[in-house]
Amino acid sequence: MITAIILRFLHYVIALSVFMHDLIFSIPNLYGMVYSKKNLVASIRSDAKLLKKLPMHVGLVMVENNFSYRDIANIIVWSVAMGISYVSVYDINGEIKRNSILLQQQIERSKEETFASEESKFEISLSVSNNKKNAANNEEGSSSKQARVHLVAADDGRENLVKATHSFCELVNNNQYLIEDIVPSSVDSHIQKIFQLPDPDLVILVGHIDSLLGYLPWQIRLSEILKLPSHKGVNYKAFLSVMNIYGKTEQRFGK
Amino acid sequence: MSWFPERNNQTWLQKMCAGILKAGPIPKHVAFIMDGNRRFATKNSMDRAQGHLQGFNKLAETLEWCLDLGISEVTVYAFSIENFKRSKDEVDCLMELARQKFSKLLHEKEMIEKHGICIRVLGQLTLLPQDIQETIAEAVCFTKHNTRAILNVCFAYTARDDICTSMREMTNGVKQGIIKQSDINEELLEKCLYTSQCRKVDLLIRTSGEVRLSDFLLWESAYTCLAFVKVLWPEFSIWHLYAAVLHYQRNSQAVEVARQNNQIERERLQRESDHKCILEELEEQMQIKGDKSRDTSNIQSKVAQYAKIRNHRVQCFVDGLNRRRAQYFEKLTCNHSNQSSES
Repeated sequence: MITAIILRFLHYVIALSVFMHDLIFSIPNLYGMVYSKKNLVASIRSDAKLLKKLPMHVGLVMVENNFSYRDIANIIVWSVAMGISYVSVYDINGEIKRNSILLQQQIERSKEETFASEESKFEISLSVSNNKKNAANNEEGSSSKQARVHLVAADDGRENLVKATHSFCELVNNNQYLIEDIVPSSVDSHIQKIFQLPDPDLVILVGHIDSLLGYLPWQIRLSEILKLPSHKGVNYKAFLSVMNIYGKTEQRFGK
Repeated sequence: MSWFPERNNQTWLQKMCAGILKAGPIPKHVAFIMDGNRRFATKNSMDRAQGHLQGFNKLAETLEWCLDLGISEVTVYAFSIENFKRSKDEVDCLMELARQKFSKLLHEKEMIEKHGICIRVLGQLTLLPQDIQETIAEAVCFTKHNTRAILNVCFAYTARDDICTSMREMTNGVKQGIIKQSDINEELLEKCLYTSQCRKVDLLIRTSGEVRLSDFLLWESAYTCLAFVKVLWPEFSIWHLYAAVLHYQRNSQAVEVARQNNQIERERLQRESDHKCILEELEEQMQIKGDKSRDTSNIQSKVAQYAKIRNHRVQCFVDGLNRRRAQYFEKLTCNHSNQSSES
């Protein structure tokens, strides 16, 4: 009985300290104004140059409720400004995926503001997975630099591996494929073909749950998993600090 | 050092903390990526083999802490298929360590019985030297009836390889006509993984400050609480374990809700698939009979009937697979004992 009370107290203390930590984390918001809107793009670019490495594909795993599309759009635009070519946004219930138009609008608006001074604008195309038509359209692309945003939900994760098994089954049944050929490399190229995305180099858990909640199990093999306390009202500094941590990581590939 | 180190009596402080933690939810199954043995060796200017040995000793210690805390299942990433790419010296050294430790285990049968420990070794064991396969098989067969505590050792394992093995099994099942293609779903894929006998993984701990899964339990960790600890594995202490459990308690509820939602979604997909199969069957019958009126009466009961048959079919397939996997170990044990008696 008494232990239960102590434990509960302990959890309150931890929750409070996490809350305080986040509060301090978000204070740069105030002097973050240093990044005036005019030169934000320039400072993002110079920050990106200072990073030792930049991910090609960032996966944003939203482990929070009540999404603020404006803030998600900001994170996407910052990523693109840094030079990241692929961003995937995941929420387990597929809410963002269903509201893709909303997000698209916010991205446009955020882009306008961030790149206001820029002549050459980035093309940010939104695609919902399992929609090959959409992806094909995007490839026709214009000459300007392109970044792709992919919205994913739980059914793109494990369920996708089940679907892959179904297609292998059909191929084997038609004698077009040998069972022995179902090995990691062939399955990987099959999945790459469906997604047309490289594996995420960086996965950011946005929110306070430390779990992937079903985000692309096949693709996260070598992804660095980092955290961002919240996306609501998130500022560029907080995002940059995550990118800085990523820039310092090393991979040894089992060697 | 043995698998059962001399019990270091825990201090009153540790006991008290364990008592407090136990007032909340305790993870039943914890997975470890024991990273940092080599860096530990370099840091303390030992050779690599010594570092790996220290790592093993830490494992033995950690298992005891887990048991004391009520964590009844532990999975460890001992050797990845990627690790075969390391220098020959080091691979040999790790194999030698495995050889020693598994045969040591066979000499400690009494202790295993006393603690009721079941050992499972998961992975593509055929990639290992024959004698290690045999020793492993003996340990697995000898402990398989124990249920109090379970240790899963992932050896010559990668999660992608595991998933592909499962895919091959299912595809083969369909080809041989044991199951239908429509029977393939998340649940079946899971039942064909090496980890099919394990309970769900509640908490995954990786040491040494790396923040990757490195091809470990990719499928299983979808709904698992992740804890990345900064210290190198040989430096891992009981306090780090307590902190990780505390971390789990903060996350467990949200993760559990997500998992249950996934379960509901799975059941929905299953019902949908059953329904579709029945409709297809009816369609076929209609074409044969040349009947134009579609018999849609009591479709619900037909679906229920179909689900029953499907369950049975899938169960037979899974049982067959499990039997085959068990036989692999039994056969190796026979070889092993024959050889021992000859020599």
